[in-house]
Amino acid sequence: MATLIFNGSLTQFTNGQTECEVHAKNIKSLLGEIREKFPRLSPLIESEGFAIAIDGEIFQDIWFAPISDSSEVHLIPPIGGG
Amino acid sequence: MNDMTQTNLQKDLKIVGTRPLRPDGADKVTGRALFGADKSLPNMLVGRVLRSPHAHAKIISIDTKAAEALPGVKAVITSKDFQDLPSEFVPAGEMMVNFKDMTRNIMAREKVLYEGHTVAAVAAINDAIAEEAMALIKVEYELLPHVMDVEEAEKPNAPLLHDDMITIGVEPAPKKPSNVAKRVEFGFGDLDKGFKEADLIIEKKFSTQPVHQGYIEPHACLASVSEDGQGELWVTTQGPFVVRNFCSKILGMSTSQIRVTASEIGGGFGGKTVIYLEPLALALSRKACRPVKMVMSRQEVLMASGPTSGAKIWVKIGVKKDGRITAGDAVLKFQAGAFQGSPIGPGAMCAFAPYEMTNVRVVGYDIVVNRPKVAAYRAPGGPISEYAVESVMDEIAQKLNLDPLELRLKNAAKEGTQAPYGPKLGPIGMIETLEAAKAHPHYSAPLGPNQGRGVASGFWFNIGGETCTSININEDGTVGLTLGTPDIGGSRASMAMMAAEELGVPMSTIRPIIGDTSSLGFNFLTGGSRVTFSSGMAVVESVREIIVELRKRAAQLWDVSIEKVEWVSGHARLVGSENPKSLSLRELAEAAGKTGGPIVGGASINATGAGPSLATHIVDVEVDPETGRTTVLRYTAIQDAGKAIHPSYVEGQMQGGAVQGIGWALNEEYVYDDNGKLLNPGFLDYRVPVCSDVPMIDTVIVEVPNPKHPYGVRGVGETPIVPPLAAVSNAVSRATNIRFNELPLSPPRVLAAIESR
Repeated sequence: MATLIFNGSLTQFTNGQTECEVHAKNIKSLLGEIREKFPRLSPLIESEGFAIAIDGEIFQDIWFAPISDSSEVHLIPPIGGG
Repeated sequence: MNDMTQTNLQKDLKIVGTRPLRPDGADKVTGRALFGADKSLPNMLVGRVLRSPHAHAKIISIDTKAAEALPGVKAVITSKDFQDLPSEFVPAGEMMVNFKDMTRNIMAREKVLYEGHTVAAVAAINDAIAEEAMALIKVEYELLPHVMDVEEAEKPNAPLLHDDMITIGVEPAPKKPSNVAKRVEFGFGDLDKGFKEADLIIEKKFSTQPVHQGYIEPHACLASVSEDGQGELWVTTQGPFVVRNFCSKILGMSTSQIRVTASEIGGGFGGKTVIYLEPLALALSRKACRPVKMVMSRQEVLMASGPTSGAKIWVKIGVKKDGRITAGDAVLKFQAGAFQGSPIGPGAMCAFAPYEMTNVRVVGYDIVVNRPKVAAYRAPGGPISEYAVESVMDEIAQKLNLDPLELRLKNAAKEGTQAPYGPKLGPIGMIETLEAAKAHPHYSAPLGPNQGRGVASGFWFNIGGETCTSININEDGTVGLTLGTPDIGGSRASMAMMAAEELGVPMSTIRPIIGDTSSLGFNFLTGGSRVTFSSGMAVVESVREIIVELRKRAAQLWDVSIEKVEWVSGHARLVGSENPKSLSLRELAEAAGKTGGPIVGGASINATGAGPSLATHIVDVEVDPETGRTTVLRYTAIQDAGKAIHPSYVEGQMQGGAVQGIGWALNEEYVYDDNGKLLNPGFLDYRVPVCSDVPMIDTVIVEVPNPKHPYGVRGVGETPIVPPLAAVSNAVSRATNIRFNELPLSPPRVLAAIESR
């Protein structure tokens, strides 16, 4: 199972939990799993449009990036530029 | 998602990495290029904006009857001409924007929130009549107290800009509204333990001013909506598709009803990723049934567009005697302007990103104030937070008697380092830029009296995003390449170079153009240093697709399977034949009708795999002890580009970013009076650097390839504005032996510090 890691202020919405194991094989199913496991986090993700980093590679608004059993997954704010 | 596993990192390149002339060069130097204000249509009207004279006030009433009755006035619009939109966040530039806020920023509804906020707009047959009409519009205001500073705005009794603003990111959510729109926090490790381990701790407060992107070309557009509701928009913008989507949402039109064509652009730097005049021009044109041109004055640009955030920053760093960082902590308070959405997220993520940290925390606040809503500006947020951290790093180096580059090398982030925002970094060039700086003759050159040398490093992520291109093989074998990302920094050249390299033909046979929004699928905007990376990937994929088609056509002609045909140097060749056969691109193009019709291709991707770019800058300054004036004597910018497709344009980005950063460090600031009125809305008083203010900016391109791009590209436009703020400040501090922690380092500020020493 992949490891989902919560950084900084996100732990306010996960009852202090800093990481958990997830079954998801892609980002779409990961978001569904987060919705189930951490219902207080879900509205924040939807309003703020978080990006997902899988093994260091950042995916923005992409649902079908694969997540492997050994993956380390982070939720981070979306990144743009000037 | 894209899979560009076939890379050219090891290939012997013929075109990529060279310095050909840009395809748009002749038009630019002869004045033929058409910018935002350069287009006209028959029966065109002039659009003008009536702006708020107050920093904060309720709109009691707006009476437009007299203006509408004035002969020559063809349309007047107010907020009543725009539907109110519910709160809905969408990505724009560096941040999410909220349509509820956007519709209020383009035209004030209940309140005006900053001087220059749009209240009404007029379309008339000429400028004089439009001006007269604006004077006839009666707006009744009820003045409200205003707030300009983040630390004042966060106080419980501060004037409230939005009575429904509940701070996001705090759990449990506050019960009362405030001006604090959002709180973010990143970090890991044990700060207490880290600071206990430290031999030296430095803790400092910093402040930076909001600065404008300073593009030479003001916002300008020409809209034409016909009687059947079809709209055309010619506009100077970094993102025609984004403009189309925002305008259609605000005006209640479908996206297919608006065709947006991006003009040539006279600078954007992030400031042209949002909309101001565009929906107004479309709404006026729709009402008047005539084309409407709108062009901002410089005063309007400075009063009502951009800038990036001003900020208050607190930084604390602990180190061992040998310079190894044991802990880093920071609090950032960013001005959002009148509506939420400062670059606080990326600012907080970047603060300590050049370094390998074991104990780190960054807390950030997005705070609304009675100033224009901020817009993206190169590496949004990064220059501000990294300025504070890099200033403390310099002071640490001085206190420990360490070389500032050695201090950074001891702590440099590298592949596998966990970034302060969480994920582990891929291959990056922080160490390589530091080593290049150490080896540069600039770093060991002697300094004179009143002179100081500063160094600083900088980090920016770079991004990918939705991108598509199309490619056509013309009947004579030349190539048409259509791109959806406006060319701001020479991207038509770099796209043509990658296409030519892949196809094995001279670059001169490729004609790259920027398509309008009806000629391609959606493209995210030009920003985030994404174009050479993302559009480059789409171009490479398009060409590879078309090469497959060309091999197929040749196989047909030779009556063999496609596997028997290879593509080499612009020719189809029969593999393993005793009689070598070859067909050129031109021969295949001429036979296209007989082999199945026009040869076209395209690619549509959501590009991922952007690699961060790091930079280290060295600057020498001389400070006049009698006037406090700082002269930049020598400047060297060193940056990891991954791969420089066209080195001249990479160097241009590095030089431009450095000069903008020098302006941020030394001169640029908004001056408001006690009523929140801007006192310096012009380039005479809002002082951006000109050629005579800066030396030639020397550049060193470092190339640590990004393995996720077929040519190793990282993107270069954002990072070079990050290091200059701290590099210049550190140089001034070393020249004067006074530590400065406020920007800009204008002569009065520096002189006051020298005199109070």
